[in-house]
Amino acid sequence: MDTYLPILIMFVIAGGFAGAFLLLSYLLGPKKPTDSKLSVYECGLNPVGSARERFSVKYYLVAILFIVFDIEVVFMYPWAVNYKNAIKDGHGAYMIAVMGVFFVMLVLGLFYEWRKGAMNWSNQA
Amino acid sequence: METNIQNLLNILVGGITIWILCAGALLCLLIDALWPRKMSVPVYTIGILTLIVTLCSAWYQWLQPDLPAAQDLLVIDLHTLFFITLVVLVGILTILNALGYMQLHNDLTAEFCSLIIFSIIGMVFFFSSDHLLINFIGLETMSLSIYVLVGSHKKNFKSNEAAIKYFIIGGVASAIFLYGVAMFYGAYGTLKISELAMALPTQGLDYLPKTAVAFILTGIFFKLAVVPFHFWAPDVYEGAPSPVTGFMATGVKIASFGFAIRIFIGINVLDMPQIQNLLVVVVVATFIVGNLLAIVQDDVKRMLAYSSVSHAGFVLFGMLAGFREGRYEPFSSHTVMFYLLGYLLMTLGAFAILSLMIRKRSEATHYTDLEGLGHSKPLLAGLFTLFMFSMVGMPGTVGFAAKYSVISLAVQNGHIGLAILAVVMSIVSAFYYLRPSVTMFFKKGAGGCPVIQEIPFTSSASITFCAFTVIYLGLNPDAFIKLAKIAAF
Repeated sequence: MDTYLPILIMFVIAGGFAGAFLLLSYLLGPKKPTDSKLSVYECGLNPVGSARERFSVKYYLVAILFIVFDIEVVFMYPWAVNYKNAIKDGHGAYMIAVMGVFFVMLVLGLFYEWRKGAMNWSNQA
Repeated sequence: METNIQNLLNILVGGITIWILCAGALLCLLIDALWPRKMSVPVYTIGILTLIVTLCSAWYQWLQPDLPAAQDLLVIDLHTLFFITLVVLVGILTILNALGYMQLHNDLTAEFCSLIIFSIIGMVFFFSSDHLLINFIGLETMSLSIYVLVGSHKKNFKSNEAAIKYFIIGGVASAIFLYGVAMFYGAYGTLKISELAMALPTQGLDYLPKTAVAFILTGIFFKLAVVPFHFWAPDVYEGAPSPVTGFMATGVKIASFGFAIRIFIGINVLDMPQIQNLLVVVVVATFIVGNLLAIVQDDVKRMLAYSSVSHAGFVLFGMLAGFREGRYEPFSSHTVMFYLLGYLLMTLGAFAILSLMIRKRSEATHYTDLEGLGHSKPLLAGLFTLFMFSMVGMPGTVGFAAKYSVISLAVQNGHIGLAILAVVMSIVSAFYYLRPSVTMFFKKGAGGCPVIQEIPFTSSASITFCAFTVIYLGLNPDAFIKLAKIAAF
């Protein structure tokens, strides 16, 4: 039973978070009901126009930036999980060094895109 | 703990060339990010210095009596070091060409330099790894950088079209390559080339590994642009900026051949008669189609694109020439390596001169643009003629030594028919290689300004280097063939 306690706590915290935010948005959010907001949701919304619109190419950039950090985190999770074992085997410093190299390169990339204005949404580069 | 530090040291020392390249490329990027558009010339200087230091460290490793212990994923042997030398040489000459080209076009972007170096890092991984997945990542690193480089003329339609075309076709090629890799894993449960070599039976491959070999070959053939996978080459080569075209025509092919030698000759998979027949068909088709289509081109860059197709056929023929009665003679890949060295020198020399041709802020490489160049810039026209002579295979140039070494090996090993075809096609190629020179010297320009007006210092440096080495290696190739023989598989 003890082993399942963390899962229970996780459920409680998750439920608490969700509930708290629902409640907060109910209490604090501005309420401006319109027809479409009040209508029953069924099979999606009525289309407003053609779906084949041109999107700003900036979304593409955001998606790429997202993917980079997404994959970074995917890589870091198994690394962090294995880190304990690595310390036991005496590979701790080595693993830190390897992740450090990876991380420095990533931060350099972040720095580069920041300086190049990739995160500026407005038009000035 | 001891072993860990030893391990770390091994990685640091063994992969020193890659560390230097990575540091240089990142430094170039960072300097440009910190001081945008102001530090372009220093960035290029750093790029060239990085490559020169890489070259020196590769030579230093070459001279070591015992090379660093083989890593799991990275093999630093003489084969790797030889090909590192080749691609780094390509990189230096390309950056020199690009510096001149961009000054003429008034469009000096510093990213160009770091993209070239990133692409070289990819190439190094591509041909030096023992693990097919790392090979694939290297292939992708190399290709992704080049897709961007091809489209680096942002406002030029042809450049954009070329980039998209190359991206889509290259993506398909990479996918097919990866499919082949997956099949190898499916058949033998390992992706390491050294383990595959032991797992493969000496004869009678199963259908799965056979398909795997065919798929991986297809992926490489796309990158090499040999017939029937050459359709993208002329358009892409024409649309890309001239220095990038030179880089693609040499660097990508050198890296692909480095990988092809490591995997196919390293694991003896080419001993299969079916695969050899396939290679024969591809070589014959490449000789004929590449050379005949080059004749009808009106643009020097397109002509050189087809010429690079036929040269790729020649190098592939060099690989095939190492087989005697279906068995590979060990250590005969040196002809391929020497051919690639000669090919890179003459091709990059020709593209260095093409990079200078500019009219109204855009490239002018049509045959009619060459008219009268022999009178306005006789020395440059003469050097272009020298490079063209070398591509034909005139004695006294490196092209002759390279073709001679391939053909003589083929004759020794009994590929008489293919050798005759190679010689005949070399004679055919003289027609289209000499056409630019004839246009330059014997046709008066229609008036107007000549297509080459000023020659930046960096371009003249790379042209001089190429011209000198083309003649020097043509007159005494033995030393370098010996060097290639040491590194041969």
